[in-house]
Amino acid sequence: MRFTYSTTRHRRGMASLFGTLIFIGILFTAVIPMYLVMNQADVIFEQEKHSVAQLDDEKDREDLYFYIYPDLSDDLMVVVENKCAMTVQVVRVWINEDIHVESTVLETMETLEFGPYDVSLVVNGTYNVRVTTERGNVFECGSGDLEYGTGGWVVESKLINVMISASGIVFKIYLYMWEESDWALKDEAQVWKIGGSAFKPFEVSQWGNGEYRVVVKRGSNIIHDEEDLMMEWPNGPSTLWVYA
Amino acid sequence: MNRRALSEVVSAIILSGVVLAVGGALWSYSLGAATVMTNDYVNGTLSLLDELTERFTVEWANVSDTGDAFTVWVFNYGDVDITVDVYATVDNDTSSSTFGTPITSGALAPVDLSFVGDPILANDVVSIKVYSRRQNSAFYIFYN
Repeated sequence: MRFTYSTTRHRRGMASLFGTLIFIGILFTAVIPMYLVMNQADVIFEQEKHSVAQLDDEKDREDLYFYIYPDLSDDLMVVVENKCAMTVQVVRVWINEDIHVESTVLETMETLEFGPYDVSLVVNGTYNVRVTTERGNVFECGSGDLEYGTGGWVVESKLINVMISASGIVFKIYLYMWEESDWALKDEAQVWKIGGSAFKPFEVSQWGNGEYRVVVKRGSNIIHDEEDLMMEWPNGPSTLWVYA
Repeated sequence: MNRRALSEVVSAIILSGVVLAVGGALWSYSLGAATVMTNDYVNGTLSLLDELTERFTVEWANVSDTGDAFTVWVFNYGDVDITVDVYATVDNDTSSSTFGTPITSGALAPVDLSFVGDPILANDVVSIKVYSRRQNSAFYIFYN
């Protein structure tokens, strides 16, 4: 009687053992691999999400400044300055609806000249120039559209823009022009900077082309003195920039 | 006594057989179900990833001299190929659309829209909406 009882328990134990083995088999061949693959997919998703967020951030921080001017043969030159802390790849230069494909990398703070670009001149025609980067930004020309009039290239105004980022609040800016043998004071301005930077444009159309000099003072101290600012329009930009 | 013992052996064998048969079927079903679920999940994740990494912008728009042809240049600067539907509405009045323009990654594609019979006039403002098949969008305002 005791022997019979023992045999039955042993046989039932085998079925339990089979059941347990099948359960472990399912666990290791189906559930765990499924979990691992899903987890890996999640990891790839998070990596790509992070990568895309980084690219979007880089796109937001991309900053190009450029101006255009016609050369002596009336072709357009585009001068592009990379003002951000990353390299920027220019992929296209648009002149109205004409596409000029480029593949030029600008290092940080580098300035490069693109062109000359041949344009069909139309009297009273305007020329809108845009620069596209690989990250998908489209930049407008800092000096505005170019216009071609009956007397040649037209510019609304010749400007010298002064941008002050130096520490301080009140600044005095002096604009000189080289006349005969000395610097002649042409204009002056006082600007206040409350956070960020101060900006002051000087209209120089009435004095025309020539060599200009900008002096920036904080109190009685000269913090910036820049000569050799050559206004040579139309053989150069109609807007010059000074950063102090 | 002997008959009883035989019956117990048989019952144990039958029990084991049933466990193996049901367990085997369950194992087989589990493998299939896990494979299907894994594939669905991975495909869904990759599809979502494509939707997430898709990037495009309207780079330029231009109207013809006659005003009846409007071209929108769409730049796909993302990592995946896209298919876009472009809608242009003039001053909330007339509109035109073009569907299913494929644009490969890194490419610039012109999309032509027709305004024949109701041309775009000077000083009109055109609202451009570009939708991808993954439901991302880009907008642009064109001043004629």
